[in-house]
Amino acid sequence: MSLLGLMIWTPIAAGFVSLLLRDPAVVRRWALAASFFVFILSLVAAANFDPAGGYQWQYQTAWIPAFSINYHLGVDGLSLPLVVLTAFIGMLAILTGWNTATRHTAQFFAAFLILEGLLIGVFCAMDAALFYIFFEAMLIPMFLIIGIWGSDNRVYAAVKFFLYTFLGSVLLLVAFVYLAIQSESFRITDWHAFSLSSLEQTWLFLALLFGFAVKVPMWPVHTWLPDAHVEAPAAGSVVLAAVLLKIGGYGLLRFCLPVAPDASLAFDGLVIGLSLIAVVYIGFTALAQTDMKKLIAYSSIAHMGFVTLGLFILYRLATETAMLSVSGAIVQMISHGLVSAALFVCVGVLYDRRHSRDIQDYGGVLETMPVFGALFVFFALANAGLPGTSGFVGEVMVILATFQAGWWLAALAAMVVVLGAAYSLWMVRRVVFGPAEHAEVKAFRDLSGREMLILMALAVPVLAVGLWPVPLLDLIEPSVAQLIDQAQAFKAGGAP
Amino acid sequence: MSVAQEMILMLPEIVLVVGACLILLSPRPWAWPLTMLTLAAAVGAMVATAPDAPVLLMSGMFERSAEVDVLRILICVLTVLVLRYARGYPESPDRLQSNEFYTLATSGCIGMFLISGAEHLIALYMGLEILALSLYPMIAMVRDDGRAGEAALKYFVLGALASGFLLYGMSLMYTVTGTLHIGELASQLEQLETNRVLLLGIVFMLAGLAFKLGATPFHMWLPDVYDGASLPAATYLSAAPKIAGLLLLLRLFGDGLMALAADWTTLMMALAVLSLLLGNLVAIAQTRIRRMLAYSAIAHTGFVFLALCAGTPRGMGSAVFYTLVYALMAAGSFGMLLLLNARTEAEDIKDFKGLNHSHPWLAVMVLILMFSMAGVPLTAGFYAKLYVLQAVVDAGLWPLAVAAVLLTVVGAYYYLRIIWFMYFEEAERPAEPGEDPVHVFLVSANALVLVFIFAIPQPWLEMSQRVAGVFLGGQ
Repeated sequence: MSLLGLMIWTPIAAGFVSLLLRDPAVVRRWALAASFFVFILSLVAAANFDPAGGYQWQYQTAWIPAFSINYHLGVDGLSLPLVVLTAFIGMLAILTGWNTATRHTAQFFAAFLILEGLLIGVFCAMDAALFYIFFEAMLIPMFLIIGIWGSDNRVYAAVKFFLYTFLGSVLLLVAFVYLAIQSESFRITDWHAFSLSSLEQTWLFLALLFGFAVKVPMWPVHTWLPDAHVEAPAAGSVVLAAVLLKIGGYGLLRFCLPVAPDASLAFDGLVIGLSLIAVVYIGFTALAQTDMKKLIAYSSIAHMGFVTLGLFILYRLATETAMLSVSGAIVQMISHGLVSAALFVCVGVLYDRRHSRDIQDYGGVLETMPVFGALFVFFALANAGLPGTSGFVGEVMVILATFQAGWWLAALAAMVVVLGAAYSLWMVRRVVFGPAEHAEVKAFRDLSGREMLILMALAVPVLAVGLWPVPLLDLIEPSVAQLIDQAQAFKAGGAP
Repeated sequence: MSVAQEMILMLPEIVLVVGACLILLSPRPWAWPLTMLTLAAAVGAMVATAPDAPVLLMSGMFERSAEVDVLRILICVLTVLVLRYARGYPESPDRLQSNEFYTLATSGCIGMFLISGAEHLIALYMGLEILALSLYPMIAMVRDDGRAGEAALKYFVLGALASGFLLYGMSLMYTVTGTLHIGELASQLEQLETNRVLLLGIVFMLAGLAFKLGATPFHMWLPDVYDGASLPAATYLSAAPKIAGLLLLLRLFGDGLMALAADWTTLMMALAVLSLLLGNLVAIAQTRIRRMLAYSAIAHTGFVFLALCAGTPRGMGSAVFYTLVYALMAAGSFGMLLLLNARTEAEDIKDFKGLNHSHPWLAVMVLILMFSMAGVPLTAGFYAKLYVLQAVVDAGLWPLAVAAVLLTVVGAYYYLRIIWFMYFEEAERPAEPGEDPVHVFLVSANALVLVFIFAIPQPWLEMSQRVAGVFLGGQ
């Protein structure tokens, strides 16, 4: 079995094994060990990765010849960072949920392990049918995670999550089936090279865009996200924000731009418009939230709007600047994965102590939890794009590139920084600073060793990418250059 | 071919007929083992006498082919499965009129066997009626239950009407072509221009079949029958006869009327979309499991019609695969329902509440069955859907494919509801499923087969394509 196969199937197998374990303490350690092993494997893959080498760690075998579906895995510079992110977050999610499940503990950790395996599968699949299978199958564990271990309104949130994303993915399926019939292959790289008329591209693009827009999520198909985030247990929110949303961005990168370049060019205004609405309107919406989880959920939508902006602005830029914006969008995806995960962990830490997500129930947390307060402020600043954190790198790259396309676009895009600072800082001001008025807050105990470990582990890459992003950029840039070539290789004779 | 050779090739049917008579006359405790023996002997006879290439028998009335034998074996396996599921039920056939129930189940198999081999319209009709006449009394068998009587009467009256439609359509075909032999019909039709009599014939035949199969707008009897019949009878009805119904459609439309595909595909599209629409929407409103499964059956029938209206070999193959997977899912769902009802009545969807807490293993099995019904990956239901979509898009009917998948999302809701009741809600009263280990094993195997088919689908897909090839071979 290949390395990537091992990374996919180890957690899934470990998940099924954990269902057989009775003792919650054993299950926890088992799950942590399995996810740690996968994380090490992902580092091995990254360490032996040659950025200029295209798709690597490939493994291919015929699976369903009747449909010309192959079991074909491989990673390039676009997917490898997301694989490492998934393995990293998967491990931290297990730590975050250490004490969450008071009942069905084994099922809880099994769901997370299986989810992790399926998510890695999504990023490693080089066969579109395999991609789709992982893409849709991961709804099952996520649905159960929200529904079983979520808070009060969990059933509504879980069902809404499932049906919304299922709706997006079935349209994707029709588009995939159409592409497979036309090109007689399910291999994604074959699709990249396959020519399509502009009418075909238009329909395919709309189906793909809808499918992935639900996942990103883009305005106006974002409404499942606040519900899902709020109701999910903290560990579920962490995976949801850090990894699941990235699948939408990854899908746009992998399918929309290279498969339907003419239509991407024709509709770039639409996507840019929706992205800017997400940045500005959802940014203001976030400002109005009183529920911390909801606030971070809306902030996620705004930040992901920034990612889609960075991707689709490329048609209005020279190749050099297009590199900057697309790389910036990918860095932003990674950064948002780390920062939003950290913020959800922070809210989880507070929720464990006070059983409330309402900002008003806190205030003056710094008095009793100085270490936590410092870390919470740090991650809030990273969310706002403070220089020196990873949030800054992606944002500044995309904004700089956007300037070339028009100053007013850049000005609107920069609202993400302004509004991000506003809602993030306003939230920490009300939660962390000020006098501690509530008796419960006065009784808080500072971070436990486990919580400290999670937050420190997240702070390291946030700072590393913020201070020295060159290794990450070196990793992704050859693949980004190739992507831009593909995205501008117009198939139906459309000129920019 | 000599009479002796023909008799040997008809051996499976002969075994079933002899077995059915013996079951009826045997002492009551022997009925169950004799039924199993008969079905096993029929399978053995099929394997032993399998021909190398399709052969015509009885002056061209029947066709025997190894490919269709595979589906007939599946019919036997499903029958054994559902009869075993039914044994633990309080009003199980053993405690009712067991000989009669098992005789009817066996004679139903005779009907299905005849349908699967018929090469002649009268033989086809005969098979269909033997099946239907076995089902009517099976449904009516609970004599003191008014709803069972009502269901049987409804089924009987509408079934008789549908038979009339079908016969009238066949007679119109005969007036134009002068033949009832399906192979000759096909070659005659290829040389004829479409005319109104033929179109009328198609309409009547399709209407008759839509009645029998329960496609909208001819579905009204189906929820009442599923709900009114005794649970064992409903279980029997839900699985194997679906395969027979598909074979009927394939023989008639795929083989006989292929030349007129341009005409009947339009009608089938309407039936498919209406069934998907009504089945999926109305299922949401149901509170009783059996009614929900009935409307889900209507929706799945719609998907099979959708596959057929592609009018291509791939479409036929996908219809076979879809039906095969669906029959397994339906048998598993009803098997689970019988298990849950083994000790106390649990006919309401609410009765699934808290199942994960009390019986996590069974909950996982229901989860697999429901996600398979919804067509979510990691289950065979996904390929069933994918295959049909591929056939439909390949035929250039992608708007239909989009409509079908959108309705699948609607359908996902009521399958999800069962899952969320099991996993997210507390039980109102603790579930008391049966503890018969054989039953639990069979129902688990039934659900896990769906995961197995997902992992290794190639042989099943090839087999479906080969079966479709037999029906299209007459072209």
